Amino acid sequence: MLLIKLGWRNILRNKKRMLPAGLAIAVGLAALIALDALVVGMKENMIINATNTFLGHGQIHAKGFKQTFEADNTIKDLKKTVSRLNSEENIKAYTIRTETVGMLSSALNLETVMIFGINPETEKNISQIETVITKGKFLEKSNQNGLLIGEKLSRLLEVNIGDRIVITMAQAETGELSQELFRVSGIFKFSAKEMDAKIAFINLDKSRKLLGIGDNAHEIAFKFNKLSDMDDPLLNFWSKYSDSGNEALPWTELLPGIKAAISMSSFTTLIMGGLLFAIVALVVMNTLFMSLFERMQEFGILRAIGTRPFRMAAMILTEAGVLCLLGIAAGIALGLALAGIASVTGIDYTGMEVGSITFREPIRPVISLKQVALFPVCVAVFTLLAAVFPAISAARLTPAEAMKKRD
Amino acid sequence: MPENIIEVLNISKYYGENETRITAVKSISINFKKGEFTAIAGPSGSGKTTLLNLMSGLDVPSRGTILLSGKAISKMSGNELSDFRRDHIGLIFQSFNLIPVLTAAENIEYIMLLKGIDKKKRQKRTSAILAEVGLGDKEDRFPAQLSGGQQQRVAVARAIVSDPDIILADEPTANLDSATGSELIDMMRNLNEKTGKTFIFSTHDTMIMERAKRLVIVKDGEIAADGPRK
Repeated sequence: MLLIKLGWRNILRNKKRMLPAGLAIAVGLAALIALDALVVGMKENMIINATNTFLGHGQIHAKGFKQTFEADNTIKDLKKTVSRLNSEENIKAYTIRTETVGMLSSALNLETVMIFGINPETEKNISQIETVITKGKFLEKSNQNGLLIGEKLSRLLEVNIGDRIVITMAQAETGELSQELFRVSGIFKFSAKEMDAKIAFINLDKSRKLLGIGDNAHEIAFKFNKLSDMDDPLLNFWSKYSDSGNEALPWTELLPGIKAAISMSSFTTLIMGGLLFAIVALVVMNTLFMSLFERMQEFGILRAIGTRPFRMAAMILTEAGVLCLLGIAAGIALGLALAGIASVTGIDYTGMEVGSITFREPIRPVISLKQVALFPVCVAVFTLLAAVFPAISAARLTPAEAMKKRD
Repeated sequence: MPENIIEVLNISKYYGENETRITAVKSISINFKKGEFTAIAGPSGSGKTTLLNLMSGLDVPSRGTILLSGKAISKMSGNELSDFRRDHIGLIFQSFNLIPVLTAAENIEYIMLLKGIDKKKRQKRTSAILAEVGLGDKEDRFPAQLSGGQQQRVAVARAIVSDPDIILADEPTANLDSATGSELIDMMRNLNEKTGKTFIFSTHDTMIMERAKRLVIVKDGEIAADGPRK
């Protein structure tokens, strides 16, 4: 107890010397908490954007479809697959799509794009197409010749709502070209270049007819009830639906770029954390050495009156511990305040594209237990490690030599 | 006949090497008996503080042996030496050298803490010893809140609290005015007579020399004179 009292009073003894070290710990920890909260918030935002915009939490295709986009490579035994999905308890919603490359010709221009055939009713439960319509309206089953295109594509084709566009695509079995006249019923803006320039949506039934694939489809996009399921590679679901020539893939495999970006952001936090901890450790070590040199005579007295070397080291470590506790308390408070304020106000990255994902909402930092439990422990470990060197120096002091040094 | 409590056997202490070598203590042999009140006097740089440091185990002799209560201190490890100083030697310094962040009581308690004495006993003993040195009402004062004389009394209390065999004092009155110094010497002399503790001072204060029972004169690292004060 007296040792802790001694440590505490020695910390308060020279506030000008200890304040920068305490602040370094506090600011370092606060920066790390705020940074991690931001990164977690950014990850969540990216995942939500990636999965909610159009992709879903995962998709089922015929094996190899995503590599070749061959129109005749449809999902094997679609009816059975759909029937199994209907009985899945952890599936919240799903939608069936066709997906093919086709050509859109307007009166003035033409563009090759990816054409999705969608079911307007079930699509609402998976994607946000309806919510990003800026002109016109979403697809309706009653209007089989309606067409949705992106803002950029509408500019390239120089068309507007109600204008005519001819879609040309190759039929699945024969490879014969089929054409049909559509009218632009809606223009959307995802704020992602690729999606706004290279995608068009038509009704599922119409696309099936054009492709000549009967009741078949190329893609089932789905969402789980539990969000954690989408990131669980060991979930039985994936293997269960990856049979009979089909494959079920989580979003992380459908968008590997985003997965890599997320992994990299975690790595960045690790590097930043390491650097911050190293700087804090050096500041603490320097402060403790200054304190040791300033109080050399005092340490000599302590040794002279019978303090064992180990206790001398413990004294320095206790001082570091007290300094660390004060810094950590201030750091947690500051970090939580910063992250808390930012999570309420949000940090506006809207419109910025990372990988193929565009932030459509402000990033809100997410506070987690790790930030207030693991990070402070890491700071404490680094601080105490930094104190080991000065502590060993204190333990090695010879009383007569140390007592010769005057304040 | 009282036993020898310190036996200094032909010790020398050198600092530096070759041309820069300085001999602080030259082949000194001297014994101190239990209950003595000895002043080691001499001019500045004569080697008296070095001799005291060697006898207390704060410094290591370049040559020779020192036996404290029959034990050779040069053969002790760092921890043994720390424990030996804690248990057998009380140290008083010229500039008081109290721990500034501890109160008077805590400065005294610290030694007992090192000995593993429980809190209740520590506090009881501290109060008693502070009363004995006339500072019963100054327990909670920090060193900076005490006068020089009061600080040196706390230092004396710290030196005797662990009931050591010997108290070694390095110029204890050097930073005190003559009246306070005189009071302090009287107090230590009383303790010596009452408890039979061995006191050895290094000093050039004539007041201490006058009140010492034995006077050792050191000059140029050698003992120039040694005998009871007349």
